[in-house]
Amino acid sequence: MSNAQGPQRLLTEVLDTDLCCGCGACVGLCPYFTSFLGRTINLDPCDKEEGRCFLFCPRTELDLDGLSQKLFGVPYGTDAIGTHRDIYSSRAARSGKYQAGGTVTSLIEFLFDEEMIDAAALTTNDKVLPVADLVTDKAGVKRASGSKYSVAPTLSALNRAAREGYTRVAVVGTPCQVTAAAKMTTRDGVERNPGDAVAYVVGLFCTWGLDYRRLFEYLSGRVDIADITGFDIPPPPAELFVVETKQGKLTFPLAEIRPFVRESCRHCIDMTSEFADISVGVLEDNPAENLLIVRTQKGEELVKRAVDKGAIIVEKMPDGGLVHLKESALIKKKRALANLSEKDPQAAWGYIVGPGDRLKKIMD
Amino acid sequence: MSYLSKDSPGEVNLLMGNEAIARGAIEAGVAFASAYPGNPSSEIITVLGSLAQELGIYVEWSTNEKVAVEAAAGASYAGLRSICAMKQNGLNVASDFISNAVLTGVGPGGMVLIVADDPGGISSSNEEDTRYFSRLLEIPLLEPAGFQEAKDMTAFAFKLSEETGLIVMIRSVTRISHGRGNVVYSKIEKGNKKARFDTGRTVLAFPVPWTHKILHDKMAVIKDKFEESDFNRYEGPKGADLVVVTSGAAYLYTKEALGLLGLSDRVGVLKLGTTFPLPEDFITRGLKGAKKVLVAEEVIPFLEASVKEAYANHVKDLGVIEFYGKASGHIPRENELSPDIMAQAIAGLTGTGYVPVDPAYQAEIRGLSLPNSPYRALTFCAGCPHRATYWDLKKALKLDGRDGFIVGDIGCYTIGLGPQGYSMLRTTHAMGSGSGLATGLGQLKTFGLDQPVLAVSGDSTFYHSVIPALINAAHHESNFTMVVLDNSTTAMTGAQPHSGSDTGAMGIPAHGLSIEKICESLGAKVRVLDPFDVDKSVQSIYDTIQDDEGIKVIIMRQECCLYRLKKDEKRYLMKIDETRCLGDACGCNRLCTRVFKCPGIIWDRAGKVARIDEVICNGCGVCTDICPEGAIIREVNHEA
Repeated sequence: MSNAQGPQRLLTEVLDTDLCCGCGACVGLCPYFTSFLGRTINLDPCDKEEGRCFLFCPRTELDLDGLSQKLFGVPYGTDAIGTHRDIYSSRAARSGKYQAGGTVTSLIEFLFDEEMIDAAALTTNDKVLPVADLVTDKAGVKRASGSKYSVAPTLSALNRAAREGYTRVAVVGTPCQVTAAAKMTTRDGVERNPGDAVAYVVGLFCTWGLDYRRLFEYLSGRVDIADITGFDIPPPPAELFVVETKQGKLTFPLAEIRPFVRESCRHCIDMTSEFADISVGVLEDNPAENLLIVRTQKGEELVKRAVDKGAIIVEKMPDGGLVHLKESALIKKKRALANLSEKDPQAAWGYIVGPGDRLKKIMD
Repeated sequence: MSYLSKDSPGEVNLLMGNEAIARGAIEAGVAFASAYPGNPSSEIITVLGSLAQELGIYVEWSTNEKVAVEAAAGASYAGLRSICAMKQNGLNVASDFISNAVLTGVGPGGMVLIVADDPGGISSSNEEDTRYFSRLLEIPLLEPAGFQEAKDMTAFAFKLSEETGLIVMIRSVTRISHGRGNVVYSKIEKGNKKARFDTGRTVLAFPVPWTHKILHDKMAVIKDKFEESDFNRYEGPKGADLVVVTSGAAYLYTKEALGLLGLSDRVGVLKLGTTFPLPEDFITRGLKGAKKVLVAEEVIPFLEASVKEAYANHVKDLGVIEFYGKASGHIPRENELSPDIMAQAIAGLTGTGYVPVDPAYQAEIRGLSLPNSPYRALTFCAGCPHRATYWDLKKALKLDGRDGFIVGDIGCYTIGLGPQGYSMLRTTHAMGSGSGLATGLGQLKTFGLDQPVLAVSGDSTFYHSVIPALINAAHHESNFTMVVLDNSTTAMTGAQPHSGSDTGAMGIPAHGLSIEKICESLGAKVRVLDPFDVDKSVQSIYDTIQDDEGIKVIIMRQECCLYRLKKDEKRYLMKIDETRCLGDACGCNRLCTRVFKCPGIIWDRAGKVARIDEVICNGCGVCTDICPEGAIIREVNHEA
């Protein structure tokens, strides 16, 4: 392995091995990487020995203990849903049309209202392709609400925001995106680090994302692509992939869609965005509510202020309600660790740099 | 009046070899001239074209070499003297017609074929030696060994053609065509300018054995003429031990080498100007008494094989002679010769000590010259639309991500093979070969080929030989994208007009044919793009290659920057905003100079920023769209 921490290594270790998650962390920092229809593309050769592309990629040299220490002041733990301070069920205080409880949309709108941020790196559907969306006012937040089933280069919106001079940016992202944002905010000594512009990181729960192009290859011929308005995966045990079209809903067996899960997702140990300030998902037993995990002090203060000012309503979760979530998160971790050691038997945990003892414990 | 059209016998003029050939044709009263441009032959027709109206002759840049040779033969059948010029590759295209015309004969007007070879491939994709065509096709061959001969042989070739009814071929090489020397003029013949096709004559090659026999009888007559030709001569001491047999430019190198070695009075030189059919008796006389023969020629051992064959026929008269040349390793089989190579070969055979250039001196020269000379890559001109086209193609193929590829062709855009064209081309062969390869590749879907197939060609190449491949593709519904890089001229050979131009070789209006209309008539889906409009072009190319049904044609239309700047000012005035260019601190890693590679942008090592070289920059403005920091500013040039 070369000592370089630049684009050449990013290509050989991440893009060429299909470990790229498409988060967009390397997009918009330079002219060499772009994202197109869900794929990260290297346009031209770059021979830099060190590059932000490599440093911030969530699939390179992921030092779990290091990140955890810097963000939470403790080493990486063995709790499958990550280090946290509090767990709530939550929902938007105002009623509206949300995928679940509307917590994320409400919080970002609240941050704009309170002038605690000047921009937000969000993900919006362009027809059915999720794209990075740099939102700079409250009015733009709603267009980003709702679940996405393939990954967008959301962090390219953060990179753009930093380049354009925004200094307090909220990032809402999937675990891979949150990991990249955490690598940015915790990295010292890098010039023009977009992490310097990050104000809050809101993580989403994510089991996997689909390869956009393969999904569309499958759907074309089965659905008029132009008529698609959205997707949904109803809770288990439905095992269905629902395509919403102008003419109505079409369902496909989830088993036929699963092969389109990105290779990268099979090597991701994080279901609940463990390196965010707060993480938000759907509450399993009540799809009209969110599950809200508070991880950092900054996250705690944000939630408290949002509750106090009436933006969201929260309720402490009894520990018993998390059994299923923890189980799923643990399954994801175990699978990923197994896949990583299978993919590269030389490196014990692939791109993950320790801690070996605790990872072994998770595996057991 | 041009110095080339003056009827001033005895006057001496310093002429380029190609001008000497043109002057020879003018002296012979040529009436019709045609060619497809190709270096090193191009100036012949350029010169004749510029004099066409003054001389009352017809001159054209034909669509391709086969059409050119046929057009010239047409004039010959109507009684006019005609000349047709091409580079070595062109003869491959034209040879199909010629192989039949040798049996039918040409008309009452003499027809001369000029083929300019390019040993060393200085401006070519190969160093094909066309002299073998004379044996293959059975046409008489002349090889000028200087500028006077270039003119004189051309005039002679017309007479020989008329006497025998055969096309006579003159083979030049780069150093003859592009070199310059003094030429003594002869009188300009008026020549027949009244065309009439004799309907009493049917031109045909049947029955073949009969017409072939007539051809051989003619060749016998020509051989006898060649035995007496002044273009062949023996120089040096009679009965020399070593005789150098040579022709063309190699004769000049031989003479220079003998001068260097001081061996002019010891070594004989048998200089041949008529090399097919070979004047065997003349050669036998020249080799009488020789113990060693060195055959000096460039590229293929054509003369060496012929002379050995002649020797075999006359071995009784000549006794034992040792032959040296390419077979013995004394003369290289590739590249051009030089006086130095010849001196080494002759020195080796005569036991003369010869150190070409002191090796220590050579090393010193290299040591001094290389570090002090700028690195010059084979590159597109600043502002060349092809650079933009490859930039657009590269991005579209990268976004597509299916490992699409481009098969190439012959033109300036062949530079797409190298880093200056982002290494986008995967192949290059002959004119039109890219489209031909693509018609085959476009049929391989059923064999699992799932990569987008693209072919490129220039506009001139499109007319030259892409059209038949496109017809094939349209007929068989081959799936590929034909990208025509239309820069409105035959740029690589010196901006000659082509079938799409609105003027021809004579500078008078011509009917320019529309590439898009031709393609549309084949049922191709046609898009016309401006390569300088990067974003739109990338999107359009991307969209086009998503369509995997049938042939798609993309015309990347933007005038050749050099051609344009002959008529107009730079479109944009470019400058770098130094407050925006972050230099090495930017994440761009010098995208503009290191990757985009336009020679109009230079990297200021001291200031560590990009700069515009205002002398080199041709003002296309594309780099403005390349710079991620918006540091390259383009201002519309109101003088344009």
